[in-house]
Amino acid sequence: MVLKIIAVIVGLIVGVMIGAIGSEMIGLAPSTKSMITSTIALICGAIGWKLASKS
Amino acid sequence: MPFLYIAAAAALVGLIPMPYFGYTLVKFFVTAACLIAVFTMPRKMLWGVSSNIWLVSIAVLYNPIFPIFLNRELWMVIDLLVVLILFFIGTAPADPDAKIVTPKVRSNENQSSSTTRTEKSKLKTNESISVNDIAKKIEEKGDSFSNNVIIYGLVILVIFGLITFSMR
Repeated sequence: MVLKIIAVIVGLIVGVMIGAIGSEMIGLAPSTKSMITSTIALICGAIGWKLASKS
Repeated sequence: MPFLYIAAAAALVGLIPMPYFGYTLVKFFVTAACLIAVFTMPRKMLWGVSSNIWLVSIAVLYNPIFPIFLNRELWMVIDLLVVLILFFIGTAPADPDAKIVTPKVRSNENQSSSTTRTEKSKLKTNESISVNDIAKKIEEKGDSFSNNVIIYGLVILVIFGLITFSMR
């Protein structure tokens, strides 16, 4: 359980970084940048949970 | 129950463009209505999570004392999500198994006669079993929720991408 929570937090952080860098590279507007970043962060957090539950 | 719909209506009002004071009022109404609903409403389950947790989370998100600063677009998305969640909580049936499994405390008569160490250890094992059950339930629900988040997140991402590139 603790491992999964840690995995979710790490996934969220990684997702925020990927989303922020990616949307910066694409050159999105600041309003859409935050939405896409948060969506990617959620997806990465969920992937982190799935990976932790499989391991 | 009406407090849920008051909170939902207040969250919908938050979609309308208005001065900052208006948003503070909206936050105040949503927080107050959610907190009153926690104490007045029968407990329900929404997607495996207690309605009390949903309502307290919404109250924390909207609290006007320590405001959370997000941009306008994100608040609009949150407003819509909150309205949907409150609507689902309002329509969900009351959960009959919502009572927390806690070890029953014996009456005074029985306690005076036989409060031995074995009974205390039994109570402790009951407690640990219920905690383990709750943890297992959380993990099971988390697994299904993570699946949904991945699928719907990718769909939302594709929609955002299409909208962004069609706007250019």
